[in-house]
Amino acid sequence: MAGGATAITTAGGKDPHATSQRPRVGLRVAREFRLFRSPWTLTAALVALLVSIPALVILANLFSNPGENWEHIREHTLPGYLKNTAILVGISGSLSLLIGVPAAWLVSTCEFPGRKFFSWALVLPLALPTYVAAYAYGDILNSTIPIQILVRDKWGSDAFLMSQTILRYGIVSLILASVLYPYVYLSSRAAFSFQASASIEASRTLGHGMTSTFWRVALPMARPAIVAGLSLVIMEIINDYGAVSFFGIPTISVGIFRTWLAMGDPGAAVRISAGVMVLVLVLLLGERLHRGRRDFVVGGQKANHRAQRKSLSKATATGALLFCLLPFATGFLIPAGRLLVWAFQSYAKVLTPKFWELLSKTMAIAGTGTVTVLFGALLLAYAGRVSPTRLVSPLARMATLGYAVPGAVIALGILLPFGWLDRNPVAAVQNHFGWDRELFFSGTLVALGCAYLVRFLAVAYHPLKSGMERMCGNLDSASRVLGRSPLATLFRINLPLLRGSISAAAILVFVDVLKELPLTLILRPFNFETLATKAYSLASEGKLPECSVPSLLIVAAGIIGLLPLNRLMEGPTRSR
Amino acid sequence: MSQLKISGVSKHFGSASARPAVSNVSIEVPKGTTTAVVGESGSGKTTLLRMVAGLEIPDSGEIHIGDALSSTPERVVAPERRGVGLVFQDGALFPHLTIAKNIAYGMRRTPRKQRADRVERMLQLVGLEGYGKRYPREVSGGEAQRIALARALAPNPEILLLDEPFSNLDTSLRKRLRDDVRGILCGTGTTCLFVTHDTEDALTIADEIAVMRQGELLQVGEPAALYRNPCDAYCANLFGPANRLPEAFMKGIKAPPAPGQMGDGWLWTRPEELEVLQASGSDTIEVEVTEVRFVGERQELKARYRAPDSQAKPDTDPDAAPAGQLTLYWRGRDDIRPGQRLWIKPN
Repeated sequence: MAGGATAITTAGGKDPHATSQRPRVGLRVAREFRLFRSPWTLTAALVALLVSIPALVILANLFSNPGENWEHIREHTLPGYLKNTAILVGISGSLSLLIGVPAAWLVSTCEFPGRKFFSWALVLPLALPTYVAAYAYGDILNSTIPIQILVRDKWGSDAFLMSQTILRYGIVSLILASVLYPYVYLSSRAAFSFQASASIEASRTLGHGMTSTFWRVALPMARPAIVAGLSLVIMEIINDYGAVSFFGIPTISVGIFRTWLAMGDPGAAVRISAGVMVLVLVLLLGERLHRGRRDFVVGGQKANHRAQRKSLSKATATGALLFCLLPFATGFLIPAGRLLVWAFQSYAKVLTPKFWELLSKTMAIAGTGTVTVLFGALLLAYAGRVSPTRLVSPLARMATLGYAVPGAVIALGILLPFGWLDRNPVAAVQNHFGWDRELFFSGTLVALGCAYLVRFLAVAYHPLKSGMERMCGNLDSASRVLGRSPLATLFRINLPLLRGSISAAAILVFVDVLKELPLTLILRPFNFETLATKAYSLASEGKLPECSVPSLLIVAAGIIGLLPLNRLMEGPTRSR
Repeated sequence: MSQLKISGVSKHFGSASARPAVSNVSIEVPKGTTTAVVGESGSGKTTLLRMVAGLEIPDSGEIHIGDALSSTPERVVAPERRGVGLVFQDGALFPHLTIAKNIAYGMRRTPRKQRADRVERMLQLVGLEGYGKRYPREVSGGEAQRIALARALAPNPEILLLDEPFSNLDTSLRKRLRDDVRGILCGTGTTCLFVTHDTEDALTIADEIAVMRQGELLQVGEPAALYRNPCDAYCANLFGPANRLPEAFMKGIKAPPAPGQMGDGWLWTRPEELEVLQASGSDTIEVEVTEVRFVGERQELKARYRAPDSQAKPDTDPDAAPAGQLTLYWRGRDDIRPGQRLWIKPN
């Protein structure tokens, strides 16, 4: 049945010159641009561009004319903002490392009573936003009054003021570290329990004990992961507004708020923001360079079993238990417990019909925000999968930078273009039709929704992307070859298979929007309150017991949000 | 009339300095026949297949499927409009759909009633009646590949593409499935392009075999022709042990391969084409045994020419065995020992 007439030509054959037939660079670039016209690539480019507008606006203002206050700010207030931020980053960052890395090592390589419990319980502090933790410890300074009095009586009022300052910085650093260390803990735990388990076993068979293995093998291998966790901690500290403003430590985020709202100088605020953004980008770049080509959690060598855990002697096991108990207590048990006690005392005062309205409004805005963010992230992730060019990946990277940019900066970057739109085209239309002059964008939920999209796109994008990567590409090809378009393939194959990742992404974004403070504070419409802003305003009025009810609800939502986060950070899953 | 015509197709990934994945390959597959593309991993065979399926865009060349011009560097008919069926190495069954829904997936233009009938018929064809309600995770690897084949054949494609469909299966299952697939392809008169690294797969299933290496097509022909007259050392060794012998020695017994190939006075010969004697005779070459391996029905010998300087000419081809090295089969009763002298002559 062989068709004898099979013509065969191997023009070129084994001729070494055959390889010179590759297209010239110019042609390749041209082709790349032609591919760029595919609808999915264009979609990705559009999403990336829209989401990058705030950042571009801020960076563009770096070179604009500074306001009249700029000289004053630069000389007098800005150094203070920077110094305060640096102090908090330095202390809290180091503390996070000192807690997170050893705790991760203990729960993933040693056996001691309570290990299983702490393995997940040590993540729980992440359920407390920094500002909620600050409110829970809000009256802690009062309990140090006896010390302060002692200092004053002994060394005089200068020492008294000094001690007060030191106490304030110390307490805020401790609070920040005790709710942020889980970032370091999670990333190093993933590195220790999966990436390194084969190497840890190899090191032990080569005659190194646990300690030596930690320093020589596990720690160097986990370093990229640890640095990634640490950079998240630093970004959270820079982003924080609620905790530092509550304790009166003007960091750079507070500085942006003050310059803009109190001094009424948006030009200077933008300049500070641009500086912050450059700093954050440098931080990100450093993290990326340090990571190099090593994958963060997933990928690399996959061990299909965990290394055998070492059982500890009674004394060391007690030590390990205490070591894990301490951060869990300060980061979760004590603050959550205090909130609970306060809530019992004050719930009757807080749970008015107005509060239920507030709650449903918060849910609505978080829900809308989640849908928006998911939609954008899905477009971006799917475009990366089907687009024939490699340009989508850098576009996606640009679009997801927002998670690193402090909320105050994003808020400015959103308000400036929207304010322009309101002043010019919208006003023109309104004038034309004789409508009342109303703000269409700024100060409305549209602006808030856009801000959430910019800030949280990465939160949804990464689980979706990794879900897509776990899905074998042949499934798409099979669907295409069986006659379905890319869009039909998305709906019939990819989305049903992505259900897990989609719900994880949805929960994460929902919780993040729910607890978001600085963005919401700036961009919310007049009189619009969410749980987070309510907690903020109650706390600033000094009503800490009342503030516990919204705070507790945020913590409850945060705990739900930890479920998918914990699973995502677990590292490689064995689905195909 | 060829059903698939690949003309001068090239594809290049990555940086401009990298070797092309597929370089100027032309293959034609006549209607109702199967052509196997054989090559090791990285030979570009899967890229070639994906270009035929419309999943990759060629840098140059053309691909015709049936009467239609389906791929050029400027214009590629989308995979969903090409009328190709594709079976993947891992089956790529949709895990969230039942077997029946998997098979029906490609038949959306078929009326509902006929669709169900066709699914049943396809399941019968691959010998899996009654599997329709199961999910992919509830079937074995071999069954999954049968279902993938049924799914690909269900929409009646112009051409069926198989991408290493047996390589995830163990040996015995692989053999059985291979025979079944051969039967199904013949029975349905399907035109098929089949990509594999396993020469046994290719020899069993294909009407024509194309050998690819580093993106280039080395040789195409019927299985027997490729086996007996490989064009170079690589093609020769791909299908089993081969010996390089002077053309004059084989004169009259074995025709040289296609003109222009070899042509340096040497020919490739399979061990079974040589008779091994314990005494010298006319037209024999004396060899010395260096290694003996017992493989059941025969002994496999490694041997060297006795007079290396006169006979063995150093081969510049890196794939050739060391100069003068031969592989021989010995079926006699006597045990052969290393160091022993033997004589060979064409069979």
